[in-house]
Amino acid sequence: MTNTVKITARPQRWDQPFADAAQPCDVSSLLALPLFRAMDAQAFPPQIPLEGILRNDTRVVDFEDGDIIIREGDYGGSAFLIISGTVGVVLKSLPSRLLGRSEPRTRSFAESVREWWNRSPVAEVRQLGRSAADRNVASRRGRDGQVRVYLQDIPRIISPQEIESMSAGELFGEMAALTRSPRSATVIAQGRCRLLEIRWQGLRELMKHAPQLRDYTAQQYRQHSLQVHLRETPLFHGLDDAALEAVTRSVQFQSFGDFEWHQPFREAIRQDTNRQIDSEPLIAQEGDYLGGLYMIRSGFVRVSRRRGAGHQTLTYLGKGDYFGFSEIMELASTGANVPWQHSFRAIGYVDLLLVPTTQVMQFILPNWPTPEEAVSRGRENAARVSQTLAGTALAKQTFTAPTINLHEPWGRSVAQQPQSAPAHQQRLEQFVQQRLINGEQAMLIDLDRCTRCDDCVRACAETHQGNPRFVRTGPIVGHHMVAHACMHCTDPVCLIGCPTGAIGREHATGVVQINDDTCIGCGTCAQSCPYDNIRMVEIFDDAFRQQVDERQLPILKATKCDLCVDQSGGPACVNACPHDAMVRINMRETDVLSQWLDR
Amino acid sequence: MIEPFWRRRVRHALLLLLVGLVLFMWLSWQAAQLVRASFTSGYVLLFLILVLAAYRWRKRWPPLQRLGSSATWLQIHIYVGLAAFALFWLHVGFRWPLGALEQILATVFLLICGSGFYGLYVTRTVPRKLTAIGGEVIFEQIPVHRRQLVQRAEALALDPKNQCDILLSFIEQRLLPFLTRGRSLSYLAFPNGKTRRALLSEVENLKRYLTPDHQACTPPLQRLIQDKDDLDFHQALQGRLKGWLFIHVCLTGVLLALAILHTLLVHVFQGSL
Repeated sequence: MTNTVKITARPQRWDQPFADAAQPCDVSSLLALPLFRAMDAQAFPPQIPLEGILRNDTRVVDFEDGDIIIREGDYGGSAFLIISGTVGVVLKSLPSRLLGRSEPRTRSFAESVREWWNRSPVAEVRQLGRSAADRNVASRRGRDGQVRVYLQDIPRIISPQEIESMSAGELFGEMAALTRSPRSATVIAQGRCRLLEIRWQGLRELMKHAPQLRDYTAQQYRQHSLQVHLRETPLFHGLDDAALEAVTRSVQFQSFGDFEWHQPFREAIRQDTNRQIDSEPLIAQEGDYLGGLYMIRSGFVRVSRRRGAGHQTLTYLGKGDYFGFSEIMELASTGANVPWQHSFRAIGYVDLLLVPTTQVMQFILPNWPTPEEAVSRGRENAARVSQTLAGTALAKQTFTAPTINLHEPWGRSVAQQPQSAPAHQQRLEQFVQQRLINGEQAMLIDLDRCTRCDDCVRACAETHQGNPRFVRTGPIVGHHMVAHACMHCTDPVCLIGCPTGAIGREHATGVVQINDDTCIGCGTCAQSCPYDNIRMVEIFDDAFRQQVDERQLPILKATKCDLCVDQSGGPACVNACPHDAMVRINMRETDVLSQWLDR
Repeated sequence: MIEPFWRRRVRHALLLLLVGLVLFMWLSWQAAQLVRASFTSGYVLLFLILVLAAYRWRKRWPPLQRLGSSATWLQIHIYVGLAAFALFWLHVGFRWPLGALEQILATVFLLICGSGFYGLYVTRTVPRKLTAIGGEVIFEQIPVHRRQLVQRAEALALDPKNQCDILLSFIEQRLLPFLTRGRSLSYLAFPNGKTRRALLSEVENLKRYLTPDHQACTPPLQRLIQDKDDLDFHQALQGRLKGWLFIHVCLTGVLLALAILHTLLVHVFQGSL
């Protein structure tokens, strides 16, 4: 009888340590560092010991004077502990070109004409080997063989007052790593320094089991960022300093979902909607006891209600949205305990702030315009919800409307949603299921208007070295295609892991761009992009010869849609579409999206 | 705020009517003043033809995208085209011209108008049909898809589970020729499901001669037939979308040359040059 199964070792969390196998971490010397010495190793669970975390989730990295350790605006998945030497936090924003990024510049008409006239008959022609002065950026290989970008002539670029030094024992970069937010400052090496890079998985474990690190990080965040964040949130407008301070002290940090959601994403989208919804981490469940006011710091949340044996998606929320306010309002006005009216689930990875109910009632509600106004505003929304839901036969049978007024801004979009049209519902479900909601500049094509003339593809090629930066294929939702073009995502996971920082997001435009000069063709971004919107291309020289390295392997460059930031008329693809069949749209702006889809 | 299409259509149609009315009144006024209005209408018509032809240059020359999106240009093209069609009849006085050159010119103009109206119709109707088929096919990749279908059929034929004379002869004699050959001109002009239905029905009829094991092979065969037919449908309809544009653009060059020649001759024989 033949064996029908093959016995194999179950993959474990630490099968692939963070450190290079050739340079494993010296755990005993790491344990001697003050930060880890103060930790109680017994507080860690046996399956995730402190030693294991240090061995598998950290690596020692050496930097030379001037090396850029982290860049302002970059997305990173790790924090750094200074083992020896000094690093400098640059207190001003450095020009993009110094950080190895490309700078947006709009071409003049004359330049466009000249470029068109001199266009090459061969696609993807590049001039490699330009001098450092031309490239505006300098790079070198570190002792570990990794490419590092460094600043030249630092005193000329940054005055001593614009750098704040950090020395051995200090930790930096933890906030961006834990919340997947852009790095808030650039950090450079001041002289030779040795750092311990801790990837976010290990950092989270350390925070979970080492209270001092957790307290330190939370205190840093509360002290430097949280109060500013709350002050900028409309819900907290009108609070005096004392009240804001009290709310800040009471806020709890919560996160849900897989930080690296893009890794299993391709498998996840093949599941049916119900299984996918079930697999999403539950933040709050319809009918459960109210926990407080949740504010989304990053990521996306699915809002759904029970319908028969499944859940119906009503809308999705993103950074800056909040939920739970309506329930608290109802509690305040009626005195009755109201359960959650909807279910909220994490799509991918979500970072939340939780303000306890008592704090909301004590500090926020008294500052709400007037209770009567709030209630009437809420009633309008609720009336719309009831009317819409009452119009559907299914709603009458199995789908009940929320019993309270919806005060959150998203309540309006839920109310306006035409529940009666299955096509609309299916569209919303598919956008969420395929995580297309991540797109800030998603390319939507109305297939009922698109004549497949490929004018968009040609226009893109003509403005990008003879090669289009997108493919006119992609997931189809109803009669709309979301083409394989960079969506300049809200959560741009492609930025994680770029060794030279060649891919980055422009602060001014929000466009995710690749700098050809610093791209080393490693393909990390292309592999990370969950939507397959980045492609690696082989490049040619002016004499139309393919460029290869000394081993005869082709030199590659990552290419993707740059939204034609250097073209004055905007994206060439949209401009070239004769039939108004194409748009670049922010999937978070559900009102605009619906208007375009239902033209 | 995104404007619905109907509102744009109404606005442009009203604008066209207004401009048309003004032009008609101007030409009528000239005729009443005993001025030769055909010169005015002729020059306006020539100008409109040049504006219509300029759209091609907008599409071909990327730096010109600063002058507005292609969609805006197409709207102008459509409504200017309608205006030119009406003006043409005013210009010729609502009767067929007598001169040989004028007759050729009028024929080319009407052909180009006809292809334009046809283009407007197909660009508004064919995309829906393509979408309804499901699956998106890039025209240039159709031969690749066809090869893949043939490979799928060959893999079915080589599968040890499908070694049955009846199946193999059907694949060899009926399916592979259908997959490898292109479709007739009549199909490309008027695509239909006749061959698809015939082949699917043949597969159904084959079933009763097959063992239950071999019957399991028939759904993939049916899928192949459907996929190939869908591919052919895409080729026919996308070819139609490209074909009319090719004719429309080719005629534009001829029309421009003839219109300029006509203008020169009019002046020569009128004594102006």
